[in-house]
Amino acid sequence: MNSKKLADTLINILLVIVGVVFFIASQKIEVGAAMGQGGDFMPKVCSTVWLIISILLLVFNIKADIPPRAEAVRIKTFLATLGLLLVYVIALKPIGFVICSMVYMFLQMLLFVPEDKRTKKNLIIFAVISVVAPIAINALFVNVFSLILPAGILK
Amino acid sequence: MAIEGLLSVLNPGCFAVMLLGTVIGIIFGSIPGLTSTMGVALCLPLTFSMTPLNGIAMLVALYVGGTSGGLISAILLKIPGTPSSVATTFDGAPMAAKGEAGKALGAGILYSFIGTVFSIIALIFIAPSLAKVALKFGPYEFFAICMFALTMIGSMVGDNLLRGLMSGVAGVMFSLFGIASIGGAERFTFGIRDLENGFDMLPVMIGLFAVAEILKVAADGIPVTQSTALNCKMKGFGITLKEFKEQSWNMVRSALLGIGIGILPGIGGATSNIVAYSVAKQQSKYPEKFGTGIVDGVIATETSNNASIGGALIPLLTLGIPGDTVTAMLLGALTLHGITPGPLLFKNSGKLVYGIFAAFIIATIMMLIVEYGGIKIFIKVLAVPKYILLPVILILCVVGTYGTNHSMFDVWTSLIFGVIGYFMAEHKFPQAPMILGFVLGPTIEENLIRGLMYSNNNFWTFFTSPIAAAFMIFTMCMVAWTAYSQIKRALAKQKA
Repeated sequence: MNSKKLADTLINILLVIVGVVFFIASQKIEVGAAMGQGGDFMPKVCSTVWLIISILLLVFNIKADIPPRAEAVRIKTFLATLGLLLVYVIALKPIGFVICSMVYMFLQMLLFVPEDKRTKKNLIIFAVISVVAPIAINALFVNVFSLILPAGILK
Repeated sequence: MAIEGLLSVLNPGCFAVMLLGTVIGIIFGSIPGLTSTMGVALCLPLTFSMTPLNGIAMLVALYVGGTSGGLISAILLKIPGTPSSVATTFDGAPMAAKGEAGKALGAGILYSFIGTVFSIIALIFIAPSLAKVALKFGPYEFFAICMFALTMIGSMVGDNLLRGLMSGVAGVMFSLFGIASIGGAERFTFGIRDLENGFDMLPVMIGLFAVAEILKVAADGIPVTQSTALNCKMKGFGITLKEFKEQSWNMVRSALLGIGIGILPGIGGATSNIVAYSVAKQQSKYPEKFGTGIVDGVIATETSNNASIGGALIPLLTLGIPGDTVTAMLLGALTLHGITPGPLLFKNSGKLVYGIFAAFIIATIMMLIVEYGGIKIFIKVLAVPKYILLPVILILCVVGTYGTNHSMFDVWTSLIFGVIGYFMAEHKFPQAPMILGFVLGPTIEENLIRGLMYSNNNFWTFFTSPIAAAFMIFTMCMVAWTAYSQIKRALAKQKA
């Protein structure tokens, strides 16, 4: 089994597991006295359909002949980006939109920029954009549109 | 009265606020994460000091600009600016990748204009009678129409029906999270209090498209084809008279779909653009070309989503019932200015109503001029390297998702759906059925449960309404046709 087929199979197994969780959770929905069907009806129908489709997908996937992926996934950059996004969202409220966005933007640009473009000049551009953009966006939305964004430590 | 209404708009002050509204609308529409709903909400306080007509005219201009503006990022960045432009990404983005960004933008802008003009005509001439028909719709009819709209998934699934169905079912499933609208049962909250309100549409869409795109770029690297779109040159709106003639039925059909869907409360441009795209694909002589970058797809979506604006305004002005979230906010604005929409509005405030119609027409022309004038600037967005552009877009998405409800849960939602969206794209699960399922899920559930209550749990009673019965039969025919064509395709593949 090539890695693409293995990944497809794992996703389909995950879908079946999630379907089982939804199915069990939908059976436990507490409905008060209701005329006709209650709020548990659609979840029960949907989770059953989910389960059936996911099992069919799994069966067909095992039988199918799937060619391997043409290009390899840059797993390190992917995981680093995912981790960066996670930290950004976690830190957003306590530290604040402006500072978090500055750090996030700079690191994300570093992760995305191709090797040949990682020049000193570009790094300076990244730093300037990372500082200016969050301050400008914050000023515009907070002052002009009276939107509330997490202020964090800059309160 | 009509002339009086028109004259009341023709003053520099009203023009200035409308131009401001149009520009803000286009900016809000074009930035993923910021929508016309948010634009109207944020600009509502600005209208307090204006006359009622100026205030409403500004918000209507914002609504028109915001709905159309979504096409800019949908085409240039493959990230829809608003839920109304989700399907614009399907052909608009491939056109940009082929070096036809100018043509895609030009056609999108032109047909947004045409779609709005169609809806203005509908609003002015057939509004009251249309609204009366829509008012007679009960749960049976709504359920049947939404089920029929849901079968449009069939044309969006590509080669794998099961994956498309899975995506659609997942969309409906995620829309069911939280407290049930009828009966108040708590569903799939898993002890998380924030989940009691369910998932909001905006963070789900931002996740599926914007965050997923960032994760995709992280995994695959920056696409090398990025700069080709900059070399495009175009005349007029990018499409020839011959193409315009060929697309006339696509245009009329999409406009009618947009108006019809816009009138129905609860569903609007977010549904109509996907439905119009699917219908265009189904009725096309070359359905296999859809998704590869043909102008037909852009025309269908952009005509229909703007046509939904007038559609949504019909029940608002004639019955006082908002058709979507923006019109719900416009209802608030009208009330704040001491105007009560409803059947008596035409009688009591006729001048104002015709003033709003005139403002709608002027805003549409302004939208056309501002967007057309800005095409060259928009295309320059593509010159900004994606490694700079995407992080900026992400923080704007955070502003939009957090700012709408001031909720960190919404930001988390967009991150989670970003991961889901990435894996969906990676494993060839189409995203459009999920969006359609998510939008239609609550309306389907509410009307099904309500209909079953009326009929004492007898589903067959749904067929006693002629409209509902007709749509149910259409739905069954669509399901049968989709299954048949998929099986036929699979057999042909096996033989080959």
